[in-house]
Amino acid sequence: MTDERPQAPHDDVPALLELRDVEASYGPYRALFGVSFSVPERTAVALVGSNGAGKSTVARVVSGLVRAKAGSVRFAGHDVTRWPAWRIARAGLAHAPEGRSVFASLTVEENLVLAARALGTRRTSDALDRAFGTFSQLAAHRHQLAGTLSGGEQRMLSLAKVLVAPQRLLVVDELSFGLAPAIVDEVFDMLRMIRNTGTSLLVIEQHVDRVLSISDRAVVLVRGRVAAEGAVADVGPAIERLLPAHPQWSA
Amino acid sequence: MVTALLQTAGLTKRFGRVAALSEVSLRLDAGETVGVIGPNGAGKTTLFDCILGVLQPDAGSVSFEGTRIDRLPVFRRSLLGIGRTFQRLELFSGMTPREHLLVTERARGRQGALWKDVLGMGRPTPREKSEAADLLDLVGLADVADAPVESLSLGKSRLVELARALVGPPKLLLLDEPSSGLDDAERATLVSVLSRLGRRRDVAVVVVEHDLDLVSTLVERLVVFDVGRVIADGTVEAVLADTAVRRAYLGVGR
Amino acid sequence: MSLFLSYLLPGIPYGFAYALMAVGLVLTYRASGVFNLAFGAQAYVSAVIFSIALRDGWPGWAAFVVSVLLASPAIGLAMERLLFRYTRTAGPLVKLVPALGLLIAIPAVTQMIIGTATRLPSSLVLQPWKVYFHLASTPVSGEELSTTVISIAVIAAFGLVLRSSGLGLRMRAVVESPRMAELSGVRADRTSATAWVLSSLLAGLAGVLLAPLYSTVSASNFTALLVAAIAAAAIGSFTSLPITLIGAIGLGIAQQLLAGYLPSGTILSSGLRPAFPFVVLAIALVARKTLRQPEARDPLASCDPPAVAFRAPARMTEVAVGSRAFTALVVGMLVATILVLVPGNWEFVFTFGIVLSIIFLSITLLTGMGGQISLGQAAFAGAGAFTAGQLAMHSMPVLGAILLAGVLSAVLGAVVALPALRLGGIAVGLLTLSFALLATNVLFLYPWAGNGATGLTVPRPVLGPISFAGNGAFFWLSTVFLVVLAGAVKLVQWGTTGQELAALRGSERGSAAVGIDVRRLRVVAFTLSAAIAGIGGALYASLEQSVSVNDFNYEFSLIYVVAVAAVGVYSVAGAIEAGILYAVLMQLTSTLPSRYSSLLALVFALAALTYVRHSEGVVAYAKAWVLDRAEQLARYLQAPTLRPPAEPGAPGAPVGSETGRAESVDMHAAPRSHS
Repeated sequence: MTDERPQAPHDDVPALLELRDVEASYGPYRALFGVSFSVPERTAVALVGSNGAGKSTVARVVSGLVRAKAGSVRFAGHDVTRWPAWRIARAGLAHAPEGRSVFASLTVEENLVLAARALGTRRTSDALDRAFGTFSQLAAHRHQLAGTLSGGEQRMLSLAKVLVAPQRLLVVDELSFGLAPAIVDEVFDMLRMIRNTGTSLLVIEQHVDRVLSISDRAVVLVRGRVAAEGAVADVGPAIERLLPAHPQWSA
Repeated sequence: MVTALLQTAGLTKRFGRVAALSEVSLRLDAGETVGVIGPNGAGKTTLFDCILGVLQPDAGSVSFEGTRIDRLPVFRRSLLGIGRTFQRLELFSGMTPREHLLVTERARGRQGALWKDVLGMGRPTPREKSEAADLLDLVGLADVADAPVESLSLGKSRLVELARALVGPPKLLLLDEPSSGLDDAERATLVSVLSRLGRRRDVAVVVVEHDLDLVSTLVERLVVFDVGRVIADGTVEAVLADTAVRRAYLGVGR
Repeated sequence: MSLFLSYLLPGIPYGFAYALMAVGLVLTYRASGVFNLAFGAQAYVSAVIFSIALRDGWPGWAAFVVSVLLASPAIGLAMERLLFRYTRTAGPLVKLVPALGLLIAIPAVTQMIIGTATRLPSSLVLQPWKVYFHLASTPVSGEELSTTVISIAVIAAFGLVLRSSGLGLRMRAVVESPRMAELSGVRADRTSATAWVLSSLLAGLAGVLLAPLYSTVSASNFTALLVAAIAAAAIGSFTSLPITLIGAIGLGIAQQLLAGYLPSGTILSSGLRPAFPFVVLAIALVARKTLRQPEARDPLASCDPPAVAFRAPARMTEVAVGSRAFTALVVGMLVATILVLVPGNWEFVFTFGIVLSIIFLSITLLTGMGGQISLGQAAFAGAGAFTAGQLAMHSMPVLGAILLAGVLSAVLGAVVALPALRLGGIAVGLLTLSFALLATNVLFLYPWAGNGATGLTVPRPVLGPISFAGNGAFFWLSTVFLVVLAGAVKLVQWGTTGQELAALRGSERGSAAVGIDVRRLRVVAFTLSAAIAGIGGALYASLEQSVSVNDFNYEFSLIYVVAVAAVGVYSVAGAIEAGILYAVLMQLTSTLPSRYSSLLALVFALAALTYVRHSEGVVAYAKAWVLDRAEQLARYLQAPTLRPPAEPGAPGAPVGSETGRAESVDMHAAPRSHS
């Protein structure tokens, strides 16, 4: 499971997503304290950290679900710090949140049509064909309510949404949550495939070695602050040192 | 044979097509300390919910000190001597840590009555007040005892839940991810409180925890869940050496 | 058979009108979590505008456009933009009170601006009174035909839009999770505003179509329409539009069948027909499993900051003492003024305010302390009043009758609490509302209870040699009652029951986990609250010396909740302030011309609109504001160096200043852990 792509010299690649000194809180609870990092074009970045380190909050700030209290977020050349979530989504940033991330009361097809139309895809039927062509497993359940899909199929549907409209960055949060190991492998294969189409990735995952295997770079978050950032090979040891309590690294 | 403190037999709970627990049979003796680990979504919180009665299992039984309790409402099970903390906090918003403990003392003591309230006899007794103060000292919350819980950090909020679960004291303590969101000082407090409890051997502790370092210093036995099943159960050393565990939980060794 | 059909057929137009509003209710409830009771008022406004436009000689289509297509949707849009978009994460009470306020305020405003409308035929296409054909030998008028046909067409169009259009898809997505819809590029706020506009349009249409079926265009008729729609929505679990539709039509038909078959001229037949939807509502609430947890969890709900419970901040000793002294001074001056200076009429007004305060105390206990919404407190008060009246008629001493009235109301409260145990939030409110409607439409009409519109006479009490017949003496008697009951409520609040209720309000799961018997606690809260309301009602009866069902109309239950919530529901002082304010305002507005008679309701309803921002109540907020300033001043005077007074929330300010919560807390994780 080695990465065949050469490590890109990142100073030359323009940043697709850039966070600068981002602070965020939920009411009185402060979650992020000046987080800065960037995701270059056509790059997969792993966001790792222990439970409660603020990883999901980073994803939510990036996609506009939670507004940053301070600092700035730039995406694809725009300052999106104050943009509502729908506008960021239309700019080409897809966020598959942790847990259930599909509309349970809509059918599989309706889930995809909704995303395709809202994101301005002109030929919805072509987009659907593209998605079902890639995720053939979903095509069989086309008219089934998404809430009745298995956990793995739901995760695939949330990834398939990315294919119905051209996306520049996909943010996935805990894709393996509650899945059996074999299904996790399958879902990660899909993620790898999406990466290979040129979409950048920001991946939050508890299986650290899995996520590092598909990533070019990694950002380590500790208690709402960035503890390390860099190429996977450089950051790996740092992760071990910074997260001594993390089960993945204590074994 | 000594009666088990807690015994589940064939406990099964499904959510739609997903089995959160399937055929879980566990035995826990008085004073035992057990760590429950497993990937997210493996059914650990569902186990707690079924033991305390927050959820009704689809099949199987739960016994406490030899008596079936799976038909009892939550508060009755709690009064039998089961204390619990929640992964998603269930604090009494609007109340202070001290009030949390005082109202819990009163509920556990079963001494309150409406007529006493109306006659002005409903205020906390000196004994309740001193016990609450002792618990606040124990978990290191004395300085924020009278601030509304909303103003506390997540770590301190978790300690409020811990203190609340310790009122009684319980015979069985169920802790759901007690260390998540704690800073170093709070984590140290948690470890010292729990290891003191562990040494006293009159409270059995079941702790769901991601922090393996913390778990292995606190417990003598580990139970590993994966996709609703118990895949390993034994001493800490034996379980951590198990390759199936490493594969399912740690995502390594493939 | 033809008799059956002749009873059944006239029910169909009613059924369809109910269906229109019920569909609107479900749509807004799902899209924004708000149970918009103000739809009843919107239907009324549309009906009034339509009737008046026709009276003034407008062409039918123009009247239709202005009343249905413009007026009601405009009100709905304004409500969503100005109020309910901010309540998405708020508790059920915060979502309910503004809607209740508007239900009261909108007809009041309409009456003041436009005046009242008389009944006018409203058919657009067909001749209203002409009989077009006979169905099973029942004449079908143009009125009934057009109502049915238009409703079917609109509902079908609506169903088509929801099923197959992009808008329908977006709406269904937003209903499930607005956050997730945004992630898919959908403008959730705009979609939810569209849902408000469309459902308001349905409400307006229902109003215009239904207006001619009633004998007068009065606001209360439209509240009845609203409740029938609520019942239909409950049958559909506030979720399923097709089941809601079937339920609504079934209700309309069943009502007519009841009217036909029940022995005519009895209270049961005249009362049960309007009350029937409430019976259905009560049964649906208790029986439908899905209704018990109506708020389906949005998977992304944790993005919003946690709801913060209200808590009165701790004050500096100097400020606390000062404020207590000030309160004592004001109360003392007020009492002195009443006794020495004011004419007899005002003495009566203040006594009324005190009696009202007692009834309001029951809301403080149940809703403020217990977190249970009740829309039926006037019915408990009525039960107390009529019990006292009946006992007094059977020559029981009035004082004893007042106390026994409290006991009977308490029993009634316990009975109502039992089915409410399985419900939460707004559902408890709807259940108590249906109880109130049943009480005023059926129960209170019987001679052995409230004796209908004639009512009962209740003398002023006598205690040994002391007679409370004079207004002055009765003032003191009610003051004693208020002091004793307010004291009791305070003691309960400080005692086990109050603390357990506070815990329950904070977290039901947490309460059960520490060993609190949540079900018993709920029954206790309901019982106690009903007892207080019953004593208040009995005192009211004795004050007025004659009471009838009109004094305890279910609408009063709604007004009471709005009044207490607007002034301050979390404190005993709030209940007393609301009671006195209400009585004084009522006296002031009673001298105005009749057109402005609803000014009082309007004042309280407008205050309820501030509720979205200040759920502790406007008076409570104002007091806190003054005390905050006083504290700043006190701190400044205590430290006469150059240091400026600490800003609330700034470092150094005490935790809990201003609003009882700290501005920000240093921590490193989200409140809900994400694992």
